[in-house]
This record gives sequence, C-alpha cells and structure tokens, in this order.
Amino acid sequence: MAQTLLIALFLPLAGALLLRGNRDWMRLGSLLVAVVVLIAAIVMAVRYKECPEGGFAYNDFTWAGSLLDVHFHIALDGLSLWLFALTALLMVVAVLVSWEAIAERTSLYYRLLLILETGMLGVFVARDIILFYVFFEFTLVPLFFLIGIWGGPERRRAAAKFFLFTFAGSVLTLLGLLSIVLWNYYEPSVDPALRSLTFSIPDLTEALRNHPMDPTLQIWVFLALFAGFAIKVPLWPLHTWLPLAHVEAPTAGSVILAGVLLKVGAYGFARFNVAMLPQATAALMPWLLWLSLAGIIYGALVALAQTDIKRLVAYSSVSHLGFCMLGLFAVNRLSVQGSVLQMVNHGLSTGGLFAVVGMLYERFHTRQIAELIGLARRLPRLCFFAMVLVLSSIALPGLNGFAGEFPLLLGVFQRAWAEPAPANWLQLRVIAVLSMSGVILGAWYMLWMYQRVFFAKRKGEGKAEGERGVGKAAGRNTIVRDMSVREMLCLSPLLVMIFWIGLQPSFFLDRMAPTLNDLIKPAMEAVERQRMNDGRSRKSEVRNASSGERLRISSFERRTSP
Amino acid sequence: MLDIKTLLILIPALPLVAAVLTAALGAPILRTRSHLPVVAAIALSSVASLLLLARMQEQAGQGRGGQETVSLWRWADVAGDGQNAARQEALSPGHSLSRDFRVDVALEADSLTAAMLAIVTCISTLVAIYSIGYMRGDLGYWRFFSYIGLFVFSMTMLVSATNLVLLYVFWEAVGLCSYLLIGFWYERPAAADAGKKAFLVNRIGDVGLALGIFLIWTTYGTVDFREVFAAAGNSAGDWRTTVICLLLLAGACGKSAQVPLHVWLPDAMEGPTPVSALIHAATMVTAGVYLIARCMPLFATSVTAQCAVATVGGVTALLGGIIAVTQTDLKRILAYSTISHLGYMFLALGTGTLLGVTAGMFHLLTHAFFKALLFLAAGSVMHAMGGVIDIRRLGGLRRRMPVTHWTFLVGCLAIAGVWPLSGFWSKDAIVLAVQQRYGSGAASTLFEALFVTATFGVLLIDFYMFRPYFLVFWGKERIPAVAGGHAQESPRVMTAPLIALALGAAGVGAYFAWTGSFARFLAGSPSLAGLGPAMGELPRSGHESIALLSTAITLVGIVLAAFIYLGGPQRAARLARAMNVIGLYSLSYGKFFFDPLYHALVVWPLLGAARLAAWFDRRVIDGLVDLFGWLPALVGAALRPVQGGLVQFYALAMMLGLLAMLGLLLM
Repeated sequence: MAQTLLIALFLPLAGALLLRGNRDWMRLGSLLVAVVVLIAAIVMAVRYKECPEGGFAYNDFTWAGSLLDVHFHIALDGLSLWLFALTALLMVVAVLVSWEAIAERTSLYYRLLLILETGMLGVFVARDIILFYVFFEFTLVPLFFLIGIWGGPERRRAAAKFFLFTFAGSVLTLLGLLSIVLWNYYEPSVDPALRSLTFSIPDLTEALRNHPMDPTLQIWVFLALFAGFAIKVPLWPLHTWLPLAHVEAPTAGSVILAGVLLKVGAYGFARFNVAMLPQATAALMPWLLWLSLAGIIYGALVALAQTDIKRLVAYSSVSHLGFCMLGLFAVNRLSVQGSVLQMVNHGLSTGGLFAVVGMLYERFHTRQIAELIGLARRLPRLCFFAMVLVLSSIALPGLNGFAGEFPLLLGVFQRAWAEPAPANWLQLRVIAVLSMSGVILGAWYMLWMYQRVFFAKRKGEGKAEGERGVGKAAGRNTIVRDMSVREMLCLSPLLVMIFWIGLQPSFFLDRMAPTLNDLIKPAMEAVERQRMNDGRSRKSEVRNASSGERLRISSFERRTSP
Repeated sequence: MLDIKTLLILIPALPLVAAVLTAALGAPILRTRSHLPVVAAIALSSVASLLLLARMQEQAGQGRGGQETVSLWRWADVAGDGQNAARQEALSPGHSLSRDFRVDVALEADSLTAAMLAIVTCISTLVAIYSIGYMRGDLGYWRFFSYIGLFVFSMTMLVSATNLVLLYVFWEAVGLCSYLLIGFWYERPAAADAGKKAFLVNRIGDVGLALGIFLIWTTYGTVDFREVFAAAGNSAGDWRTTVICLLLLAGACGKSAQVPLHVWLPDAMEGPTPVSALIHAATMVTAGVYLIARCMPLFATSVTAQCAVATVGGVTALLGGIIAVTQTDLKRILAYSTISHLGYMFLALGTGTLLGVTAGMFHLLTHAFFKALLFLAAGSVMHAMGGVIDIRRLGGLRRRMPVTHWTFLVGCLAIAGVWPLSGFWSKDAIVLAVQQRYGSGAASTLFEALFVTATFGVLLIDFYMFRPYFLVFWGKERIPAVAGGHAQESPRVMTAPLIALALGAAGVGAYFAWTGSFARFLAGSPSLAGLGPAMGELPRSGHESIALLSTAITLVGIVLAAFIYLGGPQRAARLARAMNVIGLYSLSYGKFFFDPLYHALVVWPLLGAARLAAWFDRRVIDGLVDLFGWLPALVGAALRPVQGGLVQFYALAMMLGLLAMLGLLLM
C-alpha cells in the first residue's frame, strides 16, 4: 500500500514531464493520470482500516546526514486521507472542465495542472517538516502561472496578489516551523549525545506531547504559523486575495483553489497549531473563535451583496471556511471531526459550484447574475446539478453539508455549554449562538442567486401563466445546449459523494476519528485543565448549587483526574 | 408476513421509489402517465398505514408494548471521552464532554406515529388522485408528481424518526419539498419568491429547532427520543428544559405557521392548489404539532413552556381568524383559516394534559379532512374559472358546479363545527381541555383568558368561512371572462376525492368521539404516558354546556354571515366602516402588517449591512492590504536617491560612517 501512495503522489509529476503532443493527447493523458490517481486514492480509502496503525506510510529515504535528519517520509492518516481523496477527485473535475475551455498553450497548461496535483497531494501526505514546506510552497508556483496566463482580464494583478499575499505569510510559517524543530533540539531533558535535529512531524508531535513548549513561546510560534495558514484558509480579515484570485482564475483554477488549496491552511492548523501547541490553542481559543465567527457572518453578508456569481461563491467560501475553523478551534471530538468532514464537503460543493459557473460562462460569456436569468427551462440538467450543489452548500439534511455542519456545531455547543462553565462561558455561548446566523444567511444568498439565475423569467419568454403558456418562446440564446456528456461526467462524481457523505457520514467519520482524537488530545486536555481551574476558582457558586449539581461535578472531577 | 417493521419501512419507501422512478422516467417515457407510480405508491402506502394502525391496535389489545423500532443503518457515531459512562450518564443529565454522539437511521412506530402516518398517507392519496385532473396538461406534470412523492416520503419519515437528528433531517426535507412545490411555477416571480420565503422563514424556525437539539444534546448527552424523555423525567424543573421547550416551540412555529413566523403560509398559495391542500392538511404544517406532541414529556415538566405554547396558539388562532375575515382571495382565506386552526391545536397542546394533547391530535385529524376538502373544492372552482379565485369576481356557482358546491358546504359546516360534523367534536374537545386546565393547575388566569379567546374564535371561524361560501356559491351568477367555455363542473377524477373527503369530514369526528377509540389509542403512546386522565375518563358535567355554548355561537356566526353577504354589498361595506372606527378593518385587511414590518426590521437592515460589508471589504480591508503591498515600493522610492551612482557621494558616506563608528567607540 505504501507503494500505491508513492505512485499516486508522483504519477502526476511524471505525467507532467513525460506527456507531450497536441491538445487532444495532453488532455486525454492528463485525464488518465488523474483517474489513475483517483482510483489509487479510492483503494487506499477503502482499505484504510486494514492498516494496523491507521495509516499508510513510506519512509526509507534520507536526504541528509546525522545532524540534519531530513527524511522523505510520506504517510496517510485519518486527517489526510479524505483531503487526499478530495484532491484526487477534484483533479479529475478540473481536467474535465478545462476540456474545451482551454485552447491556448494547452501543453503547458496541463503540465502545470499535473505539477499542482503532486504539490497538493504532497502537502497532505508529507510527514517531515521540510518536505511539507517544500510541497506547501510548491503549490503556489503552478497556480500562479495558471491564474496569470489563463485567467480573466485582471489576471496579472490577481496572480501577483495571490502569490505575494500567501508567500509573505508562509515565510513566517517557515520561521514558526523551524522554531519548533530547534526548540525540540535544545530540549534539556534529552540526552545531548542522542540529540538529532529531527524534522519528522510524528516525532515532533510526540516529543512536544512529552515536554510541551513554554506557554509564552507557544503563543509566539502559534502566531508565526498562523500568519501563513490563516492567509491560506483564509480567515477574516486576511481574505481579500481570495475573491480576486477566484474571479480571475480559469475554472479549473477556481475549483482547485476553493476545493483544495484553502484546506491546506486548515490542514496546517490541525497538523501543527492544534496538535503541537496545545496551550496556545487553549489560550487563544476565544480569539480564534471570534475570528472564525467574523468570517462566517461577514463572508455571508458580503456574498449577499454580490452581483457576480463567481464572487458570490468565493465569498461563500469565506463563510464556509469560517465554519471549518470554528469547529477546529473549538477542540472537541465532534466539532473537529465535523470540521474536517466539512472541509471535504466544501471542496465538493464549492468546487462543483465553480465548475457550474464555468459552464455558464462558456455558454453566456457573463457571470453577472442579472444577465443570467431564467435558465431552468433551457438548461434543465444543469439546473438539477446546480440545485443539488446549492442545497449541499446550504447544508440541507441528507446531503453532505449537513453531515459536516451538524456535528461541527454540536461540538461547538458542547464546548460552550460544558460544565462547570469556563470563565469565558458567556463569550463561547454568544459565539455558538451567533454562528447559527450563518446558516440562515447562507440559505438566503444561495437561494437568491439560484432563483435569479435559474427560476426567474426572461423578458419576452412565455406568458404569465407559467409553464402552461410557454411554447413558442424565443430568445436570443435559445440554441444554447444543455450539459454535454462530458460535463455530466465531470459533476456526477461530486453528486455521488454529496449523497454518500450525506446519507452515511459514519463511513467517513469512522476512518478519520482515531487520528483526529489522538491529534487533538493534548489541546483538549489543555482546554479542560483551564476550565477545571476556572471551575475551582468559583467553588463558592458550586456550594450554593443543588446537591445534584455538586454530585455531578465531583463525579466529573473523578473521571477527568488522572 | 407484513409485520409492523416491514410496514414501517414500506410506508416511506414506496413513495420514495416512485418519486425517483418518476424523476428518472417521467420526461422521456411516462409523460402523461407520470402520475401512475406516485399515485399507486401513495395509495399502497396508505393501505400499509391502515394495516399498521390495525396491527398496533391489535398489539395494544393484547397488552404488549406500544413501540416497535427498526434500525436501518448507522448515520454517525462519534465517540465521546468516557465511552462506558455514556449510558448511565444519559439517565442523570449533567455535563457533556463524555458522551457518544450516536445517530441511527431508525424508524419507530407507536400510536402517535401510526395515527400520523394514517392521516398523512390517506389525505395525500386523495390529493394525489385529485391532482391527476388538476395538473393535466402541465409541462411539469412528471416533476409535480415526483415532488409529491418526495414530500410524502419526507413527511412519513419525519413522523417515524426515532431521534431528533433524523427528525431534523426530514424536518428540513419537508421544507425543501415545500420550496420546490410552492415555487413549482418557477417562472412566475411571485411563485419563486413565495418558495424562497417559505424556505427562509422555515429556516429561521429550523435554527430554533437545531438550537433546541444542541441544548438537548449538551444537557442530556443523547438525541434519542426515548433516552431524552427518560432523562427529562429526572430533571423536572430544570431551567434548561424550559429553554429547550421554547426552542422546540420556535421550530414548531416555523413549520406550523404560528405567529410570528406565519408569514410564509399565505404566500404559499402561489403553488398549485393540490399542493396547498397537501401542505395545509396533511404534511408540513402538522409537523410542528407533531413535534410538540412527541416532545410532551419535556413540555410536561415546564409550566412556562406550556403557557408559551398555549399563548402562541391562542394569539395565532385569534389573529388568523381576524385576518381571514377580510381577505378576498379564497385560497388566502383558507390559508389564514389554517393558521388559526393550527393555533387551536397549539392551544390544546399547551394545556399539557392528556386531554389537551388528544384533543389537539383529534383536531389535526378532523382538520386534515375538512381543510383538504375545502382547498380541493376551491381548486375545483379555480380550475373551472380559469384561475380566478377572487371571491368578489365570483358568484352563484352552485348551479353550475353542484358537486363542488355541496362538498364545499359540507367542509364549511364541518369547519364551523355544526353538530354532528367532525369539527364540532374536535373543537369541543379543545375548548373542554382548556376549560379543564383553568379549573385545575397552574397559570389558571392565562388559561381562562385563552378559553374566552377560543370561544370567540369559534364565531370568527363561522363568519369567515360562510362569507366566501355565500359570495361564491349564492347570489347572482358571476363568471369571469377568462373562464371562457369551461365554466362547468370539474372532471370526475377531481370530484371523486372531494366526495370521499366530504364523507370523511362529515363522519370521522362523530365516529371517533362516540367510540372514544382515537383518544384511547393515542393514550397508548409512551410519549403521552403520565399526562393525566384521558377524555373518556372524565366526568361529563360541563361538557354539555360547552357544546351548547359553541353551537349557539356557531349559529350566530352563520346567520350573521348570511345576513350580511346575502343581503347585498352595502351591508358588508357598512360593517367594514363600523369596524374601522377602531382600525380593526385596516389591520385585518393589511394582515396586521407583518410583512412590511419584517421587511423594514429584518430584510432591509440585513441587505444594508450586506452592502456596507461589501463596501468595507473593497475599500477598507482590501485598501489596507494594497497599502501593505505598496509599502516596499514606497520605501524603495524613499531610498532611491541614495543610490545616485556618484562615487564621490559614496566615498563621503563611507567616511561619515567611519567617523560615526569611531566616535561611538571612543565614547
């Protein structure tokens, strides 16, 4: 299985180097590569539980000598598994949406796309900090060119902004990552003779669990990591590169950007900030939650005011990622599992919506909602696909969005309503309740957009009687064709996943649960300790409480104390 | 071979399969036969529900337990911290960081569910048959039936869910179906808007329900109905239970169109009329009533919550009635009438006694019959009149449409509560339950006021129902021009369901009230255990006086309506003027101005905030970012003169620098 992982990771890169020929060969070859990678990902996801440690690992290649212990170490665990699979899936979608849309310099285009795939897959499987960082930066370059060459009219500005913004942040991230490594190296409790400058992520996680960093230092390192990851996510108010990049990017670029690259930031938060810096996570929790909440509401409000459908979807991403971060930073099992599932869900629904926007653009050469009106009759199939994606995006129960959002919010509430209440209980509860407004606003802007684009009636088409009267309607664009087989093939896998996750999330949650529970354990304990301290300082209140209450608290203390 | 478990699966599965089949084959193959799978499936499902009902009764007769559960698959299972402690913890509510979040896709039948299933599927069957005629020739024929199948599926799943999460899933699914069906003629802006409004207003209520579920989870550590109720029994008087109940009530208000979230229901008239009948009578709006009836063990522990439910119900009953009196659109009159009747059901549930709950459910049953009947009859009028439904433009139709006229009359008499039609019995039961409640128990003043409200509401019902009846079917014959040549009785496929519903509306009330079997059967539900004496077990003193009182009021209302609306338009105008002395007419005609109020208070401020946020995003945040982007360039520009390329300048700078360093060293 480890070989499968290795092949899946490097096949796209090999494809990028080896594929040559005209447009037809390039796109066929790329599709083949993407499909093979997807199959590999599916095989690994299905057989994931057979693996005793709960992950596939490949680790027998060392770069440097004894001092710099840099390994080529890749592995799949519960956190990376579904993001890896999502990347593989969305790459197939990306190749298929580019099929007709990209006519110029196709050879370069598909090569960049494939290089990008290796970069993204690498981020999720790298288990060595240097390797992680290489892949992390590696994703920037191909996307920079994809936006800069095949983008819209303002592509240069968008590409530059995207690159500089994310690059500026990631320099600080590197600093943070290196300080973790160095801190571990100079840890006094370790015998100097046995010291090695390890960059291994699992080793560092384990080491920091045994001898955590100094809390103040943790906060600084947290903030350094935060700079890069928060821009990637993007957390409010570092999001402004996103709408521009999305609007200007070619469709495949938007699909990948929203579907995968935003998750790289969230993944980094989970892998490094939460897992390695538990005290800082606990201490900064209210701030992080406020930022996430701001993203949820602000993103939804700005989306409501958009007239460009692509911008609307882009801002909806800000709102959705706000939910993901809310769940992650609430550090408890439900919310974190919901959050990771929601990352995948967002990739499916928003990736699909961007593909739909691309399909509309190919037909009508506009993205203005006001100009795209009443398409349901002319594009019934697209209307159906778009409806499922929209409903998934607004978290309709039975579809995937709900399966992520519900546990996520449940976990956030559990955190906010924990007893004995932490000192900041009021803040947490206000955040938890306010986050629900995102659910309403999300339905509002999405349905508003959907209604305008698909349901409203074009002037001069049909009669007031609705369907009964329509027949000889004629508009300027009546010959527009509905979805082709290729386009349906492109969106169908997304729909299958949307229904599958929605109907049986346990299949997905079960596979990620062990890793995630282990990953957030230190942070959860840190939060719990803080809470119990708060609880103890308010003993007098407890004494006044009813006897039942006292009983429960004492039983809780018994259970949580070692 | 058809045991309860199989039936329980079949009832929702049949409509689902039919809906998917119709969606897949409707356009290319079935076309004008698209109704076949769905109508057949819903009909079979109603047979299955009746069978289920019989089986349940059989079981109850043998004294066996009242619940049967069938688990399909595990939806989610997220381990808590202390996995072994989870079950014990569920019985003693406490802090929450140790529980498993386990949700099964499982169905459960008890008598409450069985009764709901029977009502939903039977009414839906008749509505679906009626739709064959009503929707004939529509381009979206297959789409319509596919949605109907999905709607019935969602509703049957909703009432048989075993846990709150599954209930929530179908709670929203029902909302989605209503969105699709209300906006069925999506090219009409009003229809698309109404669909969206229904979805959004419902979503506000849904958020209340979701919050309630979250709080239930954090309080009891489980979302399973049975476990929650067991835990709730141990935590009586906890403030959290009250808050939970209020949140559930918010959810129920959204779905059951109670004040202040009732605004979507009248707009829902934009959908095809059978949809209105389905939404108002059998599916959708009854979900809220069901939720509260199901969660009675929670409501039973909190008097505050009971008062809230009853007050919401009472206010809605009154408001809906007052608004209905002045509307001119027949379907809207019926819509406000539904709102007001749902208010009655809430009022009954708010008493928190078994008597009240059974009365509420009984009213749900009878209301399903007569409201479906009235809507379908209205649809029949609309069908014949070319889509016109304004009662001012219609008149004297009783000769042209005899079946519609007679069935509509039966519906009016039933809804007005004329003895011995069904409305009489159920409304009587509600009024009686409220009367009993203020006689004994807490908050008696409130319930006394609600009793007066409910009694007065009866007068309104008679008046607002007989007003359109007299205007449309009596007087001079008025037929709008658009009706053209087809101003005649509707086809048999439409009148047959009308007759069936009329028989039901006339008979069910008397049958169940006399035999008392409905109340007895419902009382077997574990959800309703321990709520006090059932209907039959009460002394019947006081019952007759209430029956006499309400009959007298009913007669007054009908005679009043006849006097005013059979006598010519000037009498109505005079009444309107008299009422407007205190502004009541304007208030009623303007529907108490809820819509403009919400627009001013919610919609516009939010849209304004959205504009503001968009502006802020573009100018302020992005502006700051660009400023940062310019910073290196600015610094560069400031330093550029230094690199002049003059060697003498560099030499001078070097010397000055050396001197400065030396100076520093010396000091």
